[in-house]
Amino acid sequence: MKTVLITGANKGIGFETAKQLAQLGYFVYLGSRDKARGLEAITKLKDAGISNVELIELDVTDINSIKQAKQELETKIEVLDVLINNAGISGERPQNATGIELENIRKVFETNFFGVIQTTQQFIDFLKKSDEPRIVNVSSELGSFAIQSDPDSEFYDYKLTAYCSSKTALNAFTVMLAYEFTNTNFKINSVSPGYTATDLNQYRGTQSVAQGASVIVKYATLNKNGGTGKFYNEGGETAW
Amino acid sequence: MKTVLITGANKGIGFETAKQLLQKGFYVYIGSRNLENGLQAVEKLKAINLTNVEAIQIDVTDDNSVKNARTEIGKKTDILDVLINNAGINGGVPKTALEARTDQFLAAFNTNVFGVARVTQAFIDLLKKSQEPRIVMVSSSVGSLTLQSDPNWLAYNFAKYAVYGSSKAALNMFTIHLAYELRDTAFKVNAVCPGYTKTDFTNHNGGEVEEAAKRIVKYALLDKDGVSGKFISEETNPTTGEIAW
Repeated sequence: MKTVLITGANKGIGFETAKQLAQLGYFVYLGSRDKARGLEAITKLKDAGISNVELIELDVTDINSIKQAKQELETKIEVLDVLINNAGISGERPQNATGIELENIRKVFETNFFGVIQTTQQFIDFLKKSDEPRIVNVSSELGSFAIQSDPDSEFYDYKLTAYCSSKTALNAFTVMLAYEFTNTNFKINSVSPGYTATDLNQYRGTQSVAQGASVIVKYATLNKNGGTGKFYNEGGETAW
Repeated sequence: MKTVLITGANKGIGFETAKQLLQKGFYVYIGSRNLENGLQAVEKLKAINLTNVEAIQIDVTDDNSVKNARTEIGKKTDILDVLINNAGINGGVPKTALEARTDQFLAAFNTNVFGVARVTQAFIDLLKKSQEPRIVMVSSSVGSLTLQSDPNWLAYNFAKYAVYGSSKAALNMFTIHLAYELRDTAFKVNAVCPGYTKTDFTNHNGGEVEEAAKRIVKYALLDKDGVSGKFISEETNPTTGEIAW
């Protein structure tokens, strides 16, 4: 049975991704910063008849928490096949370039960028043991230069400086990390689930969590011919 | 006399940019983290008869320092015409995505991204008083995700600086957002790559510092028909300068 760790999986797209991968036969380690909320999520899945799932307490902004999660996982499994860096925050508003509080920017980067880096670095040896390791960095079209600089884009006016630039930085990390694994069996991509109704956007998103999660699942389960070092959304490869 | 503040201008490309703008008749505030280094830079310029220059202590990572610099400059001028966010660090070693430490990422982002936002926010009111305000973000083609993803790019195999590159990518996105916010004004805001240049940043490998500074000066002096919200690297694209993000 293949294994996957999903950060921030107690709710939203992460939770739905956990459900879909469990249904595909993966053993899911459901990462949650808060133990009680994580356990609630597990209960929900078990109530839905899904038993191949377990909670891992994990706060991506806290290196000790990440190390602890890793140690815990090591007592349970030999191999981690998939890491989904899903935990993310959108930050407080307003977020215009001249008005955003520096503390707000830093906080968003702590979770969305620095958190992904330290989580990935800690779990990489675990992933190297897999025959088909996959890393999905959950990103956003709002971090796309192509969209942010295109006045004709429907998202052109979505200028959330902290959120967007944190996802841009994350995309850069995806490119750099994928390069490190050139000519290996790793597939490492940035994936935008699309504009999904979650509490990250006060449920204004236009698609369901099931739709959003299915995009992530697709790139978590890529076969050996799949792309790496790319940026994908529901329509396939998209511009940085 | 037009005024310009250049951060990190006590040495390297920033210093040379100060020199060239002085020669073009600007009054230059040499931003320097360390005041002593800034004063030495000013002495060097005065020694070659460039006198419309003074040093300002500014550490872009420090709220109080930036506030003090703003207060100081506010006492001397009502208008700032040009801001050149030049202060930057290269992220150190190790450079790879797997090995670079979180504290390297933090330090680089503190200076190269958050520091730029802090300085820009602090001086935006003075810039708004200029008739032709210009902001130049000193960026790098290393922060282009298009180039970094292109195996045919000349630097594809040796410029995979995970820390530096991702910080410049984030800075580029900030540039887009700032240009967007100021789109219906006289502002021109661009990210400009000076090119691979021999300074202590690169262990003195690369092209001439004069050439690098010239590329920055050009976008500090854009006229009203000039571009805004663009990513410029004349080293990469000598024809128009504009390159893919």
